[in-house]
Amino acid sequence: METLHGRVRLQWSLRALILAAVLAGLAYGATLLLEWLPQVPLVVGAFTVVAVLGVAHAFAHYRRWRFDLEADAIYLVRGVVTHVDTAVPYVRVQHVDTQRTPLDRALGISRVVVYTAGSRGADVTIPGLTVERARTLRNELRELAVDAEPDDAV
Amino acid sequence: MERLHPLSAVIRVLSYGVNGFLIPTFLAFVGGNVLGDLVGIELPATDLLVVLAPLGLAVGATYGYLTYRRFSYELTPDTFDIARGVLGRTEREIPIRRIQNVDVQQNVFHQLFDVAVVRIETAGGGATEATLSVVDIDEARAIQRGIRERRARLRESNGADATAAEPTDADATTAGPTDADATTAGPTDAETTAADSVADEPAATADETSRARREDALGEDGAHDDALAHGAEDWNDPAGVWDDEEDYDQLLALRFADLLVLAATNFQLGSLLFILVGFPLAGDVATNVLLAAAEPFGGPASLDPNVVTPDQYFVLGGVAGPLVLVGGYVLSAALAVLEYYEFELGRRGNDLVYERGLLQRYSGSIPTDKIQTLTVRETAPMRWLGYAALDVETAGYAGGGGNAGTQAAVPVATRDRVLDLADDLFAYDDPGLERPPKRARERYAVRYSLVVLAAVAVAYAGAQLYPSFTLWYVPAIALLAVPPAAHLKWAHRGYAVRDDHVVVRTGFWRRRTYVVPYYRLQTVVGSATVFQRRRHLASLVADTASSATLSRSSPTAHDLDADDVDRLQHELRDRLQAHLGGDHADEPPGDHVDGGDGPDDHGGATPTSD
Repeated sequence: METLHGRVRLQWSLRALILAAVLAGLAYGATLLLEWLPQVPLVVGAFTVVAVLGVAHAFAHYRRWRFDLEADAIYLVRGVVTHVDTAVPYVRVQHVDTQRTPLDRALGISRVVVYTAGSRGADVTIPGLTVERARTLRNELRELAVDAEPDDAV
Repeated sequence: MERLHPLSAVIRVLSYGVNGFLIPTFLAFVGGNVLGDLVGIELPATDLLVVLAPLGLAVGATYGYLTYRRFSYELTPDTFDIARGVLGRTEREIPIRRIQNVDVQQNVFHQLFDVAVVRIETAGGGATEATLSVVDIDEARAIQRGIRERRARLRESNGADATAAEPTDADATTAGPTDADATTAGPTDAETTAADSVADEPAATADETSRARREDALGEDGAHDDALAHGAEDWNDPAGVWDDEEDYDQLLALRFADLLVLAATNFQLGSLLFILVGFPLAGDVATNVLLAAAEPFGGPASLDPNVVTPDQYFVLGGVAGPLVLVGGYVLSAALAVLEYYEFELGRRGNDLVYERGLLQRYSGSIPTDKIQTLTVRETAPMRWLGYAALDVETAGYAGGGGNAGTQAAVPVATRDRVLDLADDLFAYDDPGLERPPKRARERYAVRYSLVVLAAVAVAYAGAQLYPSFTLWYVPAIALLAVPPAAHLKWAHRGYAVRDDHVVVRTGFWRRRTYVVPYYRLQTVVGSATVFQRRRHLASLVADTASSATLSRSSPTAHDLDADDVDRLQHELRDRLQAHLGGDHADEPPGDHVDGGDGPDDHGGATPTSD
């Protein structure tokens, strides 16, 4: 099983911090409206709790994330609160993308998105890959999908 | 190319014309009043209206007429083409092999004039791929039939002549820009993915060439744009003569008694919302009914907030709930009768065909070789009466279009009849299911108890705030219902792994039994929440491309033993591979030709097991 690039922890942590900042902002707004609320403890508390939980989640998430190109399917293991194991058979792959969000580019990482025709989990994302690995993974998946030869199109 | 029914022109002129008239009227009204009040600018609203409204009417009507003039369609031997649009043009070719459902719909007005709306669905895209609004009813049926017969012929020619240069699936998916047939304009079909690179090109050019090529090949006259719709006989294909008398087997017709059962057992949650929204509109009548019903339980004499005590509010709430339920029930029953009046299901060639409806008349065809999932649907009352319903799901419908309901192949029939049909389609034999482990039942009991306790807690908090409210402990009565509820939830869940398909069941009030053929599996997902892991449980999702799962959950086996889920996940994957035809998995790609993707092609394959 392959793990993600370690830098994805930084990405997820940053995301958690942004969320914490937004929530702290909302808490600040609430203290302006309801004057009896204690302003400093509430804002600082909201930020700290969300930030700590978010960063802890980011690290735990990284530790859980695994993927593997098995004989018939790409297999992904992930999820902290809810463990999710997804198997996407190569025959069912419709197309494969590499994507880079602005934050991805800032951190020098990339992600691969695998699309199927299924209705649930129709697009499976593998985040936190090096640019090179994302490219090779996409090509590997394309080869595997072509070889698997869908004779059973919808 | 064919034209829509001339009546379409009238309908479009009227509807666009009315819109064109109303929009400036509305804007002038709002502009005149609101702007005048807010900003102090006095617009000469009336003068503007005199100019703009007739102008809007004229523009709208002209546009409506042009949308009719500029809309044309054609059923060619292997595609269904439409060209439409006044300002932006869309030309679209839908490969016949990719067409899923073909639906014909008539509202009361359409029935008066013998016209209908035809909808053609494929698996791709976010909306119905082709909507013909409106065509003559005979023409609509001819289109349905023409598509069915062409599909059958394509399937045959593919099966008989496997090496022919027929565009096969493999060809189509790997096709480059040279293969103009795969270059559909817009996200029309399953291969859009592969055609992405070419879709960016001006679609019309590629389209025009391909049409010209094909028309050359057929030796047909290319430009009869001015001709009106010719009617059914025009579909007779030069390449083959179709039987007018098709084989039609009636599988099921809804008798009056069945309709009553359906009305009595079909409870739609949506109707509750309707009642709740409608309640304030009904005004005094609804209020009086509510007060009269609440009176025996100590309800208030009026809704005057100054008089009503908190306890009386509580009673009112308790009475209103059941009343809303009864109202929703009656409404659901009425809707069910309207929707499934004179329902009839039959089989024509490879298609399931149905007709139904009173005010809105629907008729649809579902290709059996495109079926993704069968769902046996039984509400609790249906089970008590020995009835069931069957949903036949394809990948055709786009989500949220309100079309999901049309997928009910059998709205209600005796359970035996439904199982016979499921057996016909998927060799489903209603197996005994394996239930989740008993510890799952404890989970449900805990979950329900927590809900009840939360309700009591809320009521208690309310009692603290309003001391005159003393009945806070009443919701605790629901604790008595927890053990049976937990047991029933558990007892109606289960799964079975059969030769050709996996069966998954869940739900007490509306029990659904999903039959998922292995060769239709898309992704296989195991998941375990933190609460499930505490009891070493997990859930398994067997996803297909069925479009019905866009609006409700995918087939899921809930709360199985975590080890079982692990094992099943691998087993389903292995069986998918086996049912794809493991024997020619080693062939180089491209040699294999799609011989039709029906159950028959796969039924013979031997599944491997662990």
